Amino acid sequence: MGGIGKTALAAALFQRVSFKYEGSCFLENVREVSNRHGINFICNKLLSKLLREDLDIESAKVIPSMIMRRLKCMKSFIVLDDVHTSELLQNLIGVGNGWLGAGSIVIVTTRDKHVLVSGGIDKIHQVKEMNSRNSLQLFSLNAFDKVLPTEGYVELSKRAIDYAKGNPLALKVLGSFLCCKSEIEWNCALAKLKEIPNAEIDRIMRWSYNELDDKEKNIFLDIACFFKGLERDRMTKILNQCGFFADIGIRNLLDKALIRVDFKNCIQMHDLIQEMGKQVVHEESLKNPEQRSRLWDPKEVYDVLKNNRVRKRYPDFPS
Amino acid sequence: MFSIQIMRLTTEILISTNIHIFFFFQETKIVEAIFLDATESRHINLSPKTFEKMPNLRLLAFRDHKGIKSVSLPSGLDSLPKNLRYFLWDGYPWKSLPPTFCSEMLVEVSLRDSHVEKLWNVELVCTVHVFIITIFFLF
Repeated sequence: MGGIGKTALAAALFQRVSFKYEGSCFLENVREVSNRHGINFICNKLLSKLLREDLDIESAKVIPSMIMRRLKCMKSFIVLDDVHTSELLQNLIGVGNGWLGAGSIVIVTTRDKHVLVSGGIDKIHQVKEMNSRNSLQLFSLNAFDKVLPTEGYVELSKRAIDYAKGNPLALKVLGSFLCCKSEIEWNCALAKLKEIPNAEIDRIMRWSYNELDDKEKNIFLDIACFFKGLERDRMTKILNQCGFFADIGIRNLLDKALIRVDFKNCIQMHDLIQEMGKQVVHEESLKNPEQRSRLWDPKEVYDVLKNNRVRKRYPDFPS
Repeated sequence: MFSIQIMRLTTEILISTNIHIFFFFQETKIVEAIFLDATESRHINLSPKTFEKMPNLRLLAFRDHKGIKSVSLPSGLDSLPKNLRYFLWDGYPWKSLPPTFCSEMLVEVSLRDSHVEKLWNVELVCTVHVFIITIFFLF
């Protein structure tokens, strides 16, 4: 399930213990990166990071024995985030992590349990939903800026967290959405949520997006389609120059929990929220990429760059 | 200038070899941002006039991986959109940017592994906030 906190949990563990290992690597969004750049790219990235040198192995299937020996001699800590096939897993760490040295640890996050079972992972931990007490705390922190609801909002808050079903991302976005709203607006929003039983997270995120003003929407979509991961100050300058009043816009997106700032002061956005942003752009024109404001899919970029050239006529050859 | 000369040269070759094709361009006014992360499987040759009909393009990024060039400019580039704020082109293949390109709006330019020898005149460069340029090859 998306937004439940798998990556966050793995990242917290990585931060806490990876320094104790000789080699460590946190590979984010393995699925997306491997779809885009192929397995060899990922494999090189992993090995380069672990062995601390720039490697360029031609095929992930044939790893030079020298490298294998070095790997076997070291204790590694690896996080592979969002892996979607067991083949990929085996190509990266060997069947039954046979490539790695004794005492190494590999943490794999995935939405599909079969990947872990057929990939030979020993221990499977299913990240549980938040219990109701923690849910209320997280929700309240976002909705009221304190750990418990404001007086008069306790019942409404309990109703709200029922919809989030212990999903931390949903709790954060919903809490931020309802923050500073009147009791009537809360009632109205919760009644609307009741009508859409199966699309809660996506719908909650859309509400937050729809509430933004035009400039904030532009900032949000630029981040989702273009700038995710860029340093905050640099991004602010560029977006200010675009006329989007980015200092206040980015602040507002942070308040709505649609983006966050990581420890390097870079702007990050949860995959599910990014997906929603891309979907908004996609809906500008379902069929024609050239009718959309932002292009990121390689195939569509190629098509648009190619097709804006229209061959009209072949004039007579000069005599 | 260099690219213009090449353009002329190419045109002459085209004419002399009796391959004579005219291209017309459709407007793509809506596109504001293009982000291309190079993939191994695709490659495109851009026409010199590719960006002429994208007046509203604000953000442009052609990113390479391990030297894989996904975008080439066999006949140079006539222009870049005047509204460009962010311009990233890994391995930009020509020695200079289009001479008509006005950088007033630009905040950030990144031309890693590029062949660029000359940008614009000095005062225009001063308006740009971040410059990342590594020259790939110098004659």
